[in-house]
Amino acid sequence: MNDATSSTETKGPPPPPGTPVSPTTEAEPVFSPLGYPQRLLAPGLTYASITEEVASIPLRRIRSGWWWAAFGVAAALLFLLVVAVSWLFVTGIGIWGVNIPVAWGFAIVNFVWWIGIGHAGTLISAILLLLAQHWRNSINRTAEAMTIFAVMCAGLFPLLHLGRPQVFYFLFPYPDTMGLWPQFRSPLVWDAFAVSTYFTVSLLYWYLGLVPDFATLRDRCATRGGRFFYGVVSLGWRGSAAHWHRHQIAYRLLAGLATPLVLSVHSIVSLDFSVAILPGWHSTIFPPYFVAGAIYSGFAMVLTLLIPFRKVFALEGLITPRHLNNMALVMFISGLLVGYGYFMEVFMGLLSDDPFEHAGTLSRLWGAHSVIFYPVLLCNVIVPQLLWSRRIRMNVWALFALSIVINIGMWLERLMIVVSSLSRDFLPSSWGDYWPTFWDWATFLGTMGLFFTCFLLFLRLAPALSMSDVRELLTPGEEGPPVDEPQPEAKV
Amino acid sequence: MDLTELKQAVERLQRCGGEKGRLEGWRSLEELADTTEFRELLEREFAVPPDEADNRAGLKRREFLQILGGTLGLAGLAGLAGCTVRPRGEIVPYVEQPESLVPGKPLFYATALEFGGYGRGVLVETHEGRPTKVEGNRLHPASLGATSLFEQATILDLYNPARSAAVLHRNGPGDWPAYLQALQTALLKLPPGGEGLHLLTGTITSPAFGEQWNMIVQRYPAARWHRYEPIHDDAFLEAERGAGWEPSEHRYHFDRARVVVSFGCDFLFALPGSVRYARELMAGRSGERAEMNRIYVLESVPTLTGAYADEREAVRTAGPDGIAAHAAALAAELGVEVRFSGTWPGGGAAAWARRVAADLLAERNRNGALLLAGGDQPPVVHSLVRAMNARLGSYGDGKGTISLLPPLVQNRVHQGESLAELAAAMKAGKARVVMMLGGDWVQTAPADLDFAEALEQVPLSIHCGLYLDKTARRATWHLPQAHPLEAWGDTRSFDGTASLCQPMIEPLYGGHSLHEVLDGLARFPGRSGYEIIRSHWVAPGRLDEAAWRRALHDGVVEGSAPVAAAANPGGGGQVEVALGEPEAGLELVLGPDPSLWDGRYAQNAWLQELPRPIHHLSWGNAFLIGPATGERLGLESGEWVRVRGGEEEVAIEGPVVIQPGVADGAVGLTLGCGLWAGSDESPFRVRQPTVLLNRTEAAHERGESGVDAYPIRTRAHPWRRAVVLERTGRNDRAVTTQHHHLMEGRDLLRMGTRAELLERYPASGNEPLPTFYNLTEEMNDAYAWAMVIDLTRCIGCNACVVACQAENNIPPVGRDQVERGREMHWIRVDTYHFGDPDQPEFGFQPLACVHCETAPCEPVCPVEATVHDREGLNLQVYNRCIGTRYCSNNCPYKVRRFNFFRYAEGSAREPLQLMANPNVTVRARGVMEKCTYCVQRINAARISARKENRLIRDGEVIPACAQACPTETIVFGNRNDRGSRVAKRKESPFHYALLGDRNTRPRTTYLARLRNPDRPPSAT
Repeated sequence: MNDATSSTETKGPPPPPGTPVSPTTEAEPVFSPLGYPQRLLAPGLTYASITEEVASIPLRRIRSGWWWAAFGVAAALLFLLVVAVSWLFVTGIGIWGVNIPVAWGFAIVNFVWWIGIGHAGTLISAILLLLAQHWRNSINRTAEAMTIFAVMCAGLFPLLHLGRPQVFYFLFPYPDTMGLWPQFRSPLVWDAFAVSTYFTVSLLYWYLGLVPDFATLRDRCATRGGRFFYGVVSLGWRGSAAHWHRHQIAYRLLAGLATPLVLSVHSIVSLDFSVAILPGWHSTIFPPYFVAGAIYSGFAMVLTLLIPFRKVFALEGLITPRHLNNMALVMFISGLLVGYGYFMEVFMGLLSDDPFEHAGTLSRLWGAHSVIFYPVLLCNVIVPQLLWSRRIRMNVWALFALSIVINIGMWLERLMIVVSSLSRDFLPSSWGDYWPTFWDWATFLGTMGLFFTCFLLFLRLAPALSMSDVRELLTPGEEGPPVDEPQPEAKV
Repeated sequence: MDLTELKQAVERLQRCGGEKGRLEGWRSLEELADTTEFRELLEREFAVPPDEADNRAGLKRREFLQILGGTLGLAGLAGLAGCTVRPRGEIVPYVEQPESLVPGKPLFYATALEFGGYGRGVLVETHEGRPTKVEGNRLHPASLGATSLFEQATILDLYNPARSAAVLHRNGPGDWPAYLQALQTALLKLPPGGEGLHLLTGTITSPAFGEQWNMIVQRYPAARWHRYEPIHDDAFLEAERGAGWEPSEHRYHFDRARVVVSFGCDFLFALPGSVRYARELMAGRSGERAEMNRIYVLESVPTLTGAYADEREAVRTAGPDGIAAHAAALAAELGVEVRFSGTWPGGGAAAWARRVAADLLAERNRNGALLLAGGDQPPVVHSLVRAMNARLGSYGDGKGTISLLPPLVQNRVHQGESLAELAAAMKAGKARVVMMLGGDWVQTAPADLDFAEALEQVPLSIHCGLYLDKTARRATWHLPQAHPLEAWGDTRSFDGTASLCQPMIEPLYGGHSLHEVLDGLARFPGRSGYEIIRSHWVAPGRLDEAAWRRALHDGVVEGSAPVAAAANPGGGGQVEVALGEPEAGLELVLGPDPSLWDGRYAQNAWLQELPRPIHHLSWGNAFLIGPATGERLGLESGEWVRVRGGEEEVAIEGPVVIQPGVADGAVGLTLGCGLWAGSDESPFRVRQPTVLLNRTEAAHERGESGVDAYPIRTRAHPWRRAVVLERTGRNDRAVTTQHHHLMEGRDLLRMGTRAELLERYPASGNEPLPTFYNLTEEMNDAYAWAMVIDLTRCIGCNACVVACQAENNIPPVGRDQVERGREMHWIRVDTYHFGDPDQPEFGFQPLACVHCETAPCEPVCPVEATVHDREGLNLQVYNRCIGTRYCSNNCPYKVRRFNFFRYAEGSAREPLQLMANPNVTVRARGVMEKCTYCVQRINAARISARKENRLIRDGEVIPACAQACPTETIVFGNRNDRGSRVAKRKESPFHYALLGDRNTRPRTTYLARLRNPDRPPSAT
């Protein structure tokens, strides 16, 4: 945002140190001439107040009944997952709705969906860090956590959907006594590498960022057990300049490592489809189209999580309308890319000389699959056009509703790609439909339970915002909040 | 009785060749030991008054089991060497290896299996005494090496855990001695002439059975033998009687036919000689010959024959546009004297008749006419057909298309009348002893006979059958029948050739053959099956010892076919035809089920699950109506209707399926579905059904196993009747394995006339597109296995599907799994409809894994579980497969099958595990499987070829599907061998690869379906 010139008007008397962030953060936001909100943080924040505000969430008793309610629901769903997976292992994947010809169903849909969600975290924390988008500092921790848990959920599905999950390790190149190796031409092997690498790097990156904050908690924790726990996980962090120096080097190195992964993981996931010869799958546009879709759904999920979170824990001062606006913009742009992807798929399908490709496209436009194609179009392309409006982007409720619509739309999109292409392929004699069973839904909702259980526990056990990163946003030497960074190269 | 006595008994048995004491051996161990105490006991026992004998029925469960155990034990002791199942005690290797028996090498025995009472010769593959597979017998005229689906499925019937395993007395426990005693007592009470003794059987051609009956008649001159098959040809008999023709049976010669006109006759499937006929028909239809024969079929509901025909008309049976009207119009055109009373044939029939008559009378078709009338057609059609055939010179043994044989059936009667006569005698209380052998007449008898109620009036009714069906439940005694593969027997085939049937294994569930049970009427104690058959055949004027052995070895009795009448029987003069008024209402058309026939195979899970040809319904049938009728009634597939037969209140319910090709106004329904004899509760079912059968039983209880048509089938209307349809409001689709029958403009099944095909596919598009893979290097072996499927020859009969299932240990999966789209058949027969939905044309396309050279399944498998070998086989490595199912997704033919559950569980347990082919892995849960080109057979041939230091010869490897195929549709062999049949077929101008433009380079390729219609096809 090119609005550094108007920074003077926000300067005011600094609040006394230690003042908790009050609802005054609802104070009139400051807008640039173009009408964009400019405040990164609410006025009146100090180093101490930021630390106090963030650290108090894990260190104090839970104030919110909402947390307990959410945790109860999430834990119940997690239990459902345990039941569903146990029954799956006992009886076999026949309990799901998959069949011949639709041999992939909810499991793969959910896999792609979760892994797409997992993209926003690394994008926010790594790519925006390297691009010096400092507004990310308030949201990167939550987004990273979301990534970790989403990838965990995603990673479950390829294992669960195997006919013989007990031999999943055949996918990896281990020293087999028979000299057997994976078949490296298969995108599923690439998947195994891509997802596991992505998970490892994301986890390390997240943890590395957490170390200084864990040290803060260790120092502030009142209970012996807490001090011990945070003491162990903070790895002896003392906050010396040498520590900070090395931490920053490592952090940026990992960010550099994670950046290509953001692009590679979903590209490779898309290759699961585009390598196949199936009409509707076999398409060269898939890698960029999938990456855009991943960012799209990832940002939607970040918004879905952050909007209630900042409300419940009263963090409106740290996660401001400016953050929401920025995220909405990224989501919007990636959504437009996704829309372009849809358009090109249809265009190329209609242009195609291939009768099967052609028939598949027609079936989406006004055939058997229009029932899913048009809802996808509505959720992912038409409704998000509202984001052109600044008022929508500034409206918390509208954004929340939109993020949910996009989440659903992106899930439907994966359902469309996986199921509808399989159900109508080359030979009409083998066409068949797919209907999910109770266990399909139970497993899907169960992973929601896993995700939210982990996420809610994370909110309670670790600093949900990066204290050190947010403190950086305050101008050194001054306790007043800056309006924006003096970073001319960071102009959007 | 102690062990020494038992040993002596065993020795005695072995001395007399194991044959003595088969029937009497069922009573007790003591008898075998033949002690004096036992003789006393025997005398005492037969002095017991009947009342006390009846008390024996109240055996305690423990005693019942003891006796049952004893009988089973004895069955083992008295067994045939090498055929014993489930040995007790230690298993030791042979000290002296019996000659010809090598462990691991199967032995083949010739025998014959009956279809509707007529024999079809088969060879049975046995592994260490276990029959595992049935193949056709090349020497047998009804087989020529091929089989139908029924012979293939017999092996499951043999091991079927649902089979009856114990004697029942009044639906409670019984035993053989008590039965024999009750029978003897009842026979003694009969009047001297034997009035009141009735025998009821299906069609029997067995000469030995006839001789046995003659002996019974000598003893009881007033005894009556009734015959009833649900699928009967009474109408022909009525025509024969009415016109006073010489009693005869038809033997057709399709290889001599130039023009075949069928009036509702499903000759490719439903005749005793169908397997042979299908082969003969192909002599005039191969793609190499420009001059093809032509087939006209008139029918109301599509059958295999109609689907194969060049010219098919879907017409109703009655009225001025019905089948009879067409026949009459054609007869008139051909110069037969036809007198119409009332209505004349409609314009459509007349035009059709002119066209067909011109074709029949054309010079090129001289002496090549063959007209047939279906057994379900009214007598007038038979008379017309007879007259037309006579006029066209079709009769005559030497060069005619029809030979008239003297009757082959032992008891040639009007079956409807015969059964009605029995029912009347039973109701009148005149029938004292009724023996019912090998059928379920309570189920299948015409509904208005009240057969079940009549049966109640009989003091002693005896039923012998394979299953605890409804008749078994209601008879005084039920006796388990030995399966045809467990018993001695004999039979005649469609052309009269006699065959001997020999047992492959001791009766698995106890039981006796029909011959043995029948012998109980003639003498006490009865003879063993072996004695009965041998004493009939090894007799002066029949066979000597050498000829007997040869007949057993070959499976046919040489020179046993009767001589056909040489003369033309003449037309019988004028034929009177009363066509009746056009009918506005709906007409229910009944016919045999393409899988379950009349219901006798209803317990066979393979056949239940088998997708029926044309509509691919599985686990049941449905009311088939044409698209026009459906539109008029506002009915859609899946809606349930109640069908009421006019005047009575009896109604049957089931789902409707809109089937193109059903005549407008006709409602097609097959007999034999909706029966599940095993579902009745019985405390005496010794063997629990498998998990699979349980699931299917539950479906049956929900009314989902199909529609039982018998309640609406009456004596007067055995085949068709006017009905009313009512909606029930229920909407529940019938289960089908193919939901879509249109090709959507894709080039999948090439079909047309020779000229059309050559024009449309000039280069035939066989040249593979370029590829990056170096295939010549990867597949440079001496062998390049390939298969060519000639669609011109495929009649869609499903024999290949069942053969593959039997050969490759493919488990049935049950109704709910088929509904989910998880059937496991490695080969399927796709059907496509072409043209006008009301008068469509059909095409069949058998499809299994086509073994692509650039197989799309291979690069996507992450663990290399599906790979290529150098001979071009696309292999599936079960124990490497982790079940990602990616291969199936990427298979454009969708021929891969996945074990979503532990489907093979049932096959891995007693008794079905005995049935398994030991050379084929039983697949675990979670792995993918598919056609292997019967790699076990390739490897068996490879071993013998290597021993002789030569290459495998053409024709040495025959996959199960190709072996069963009646029409030689499938040819398999080495493509590199230029002289092989496969290589020759590939040179045909009609050769093409399915989805060849995907450059998958399939090893299985097709020859286009050549048709020979009289007019250009409406659309292809």
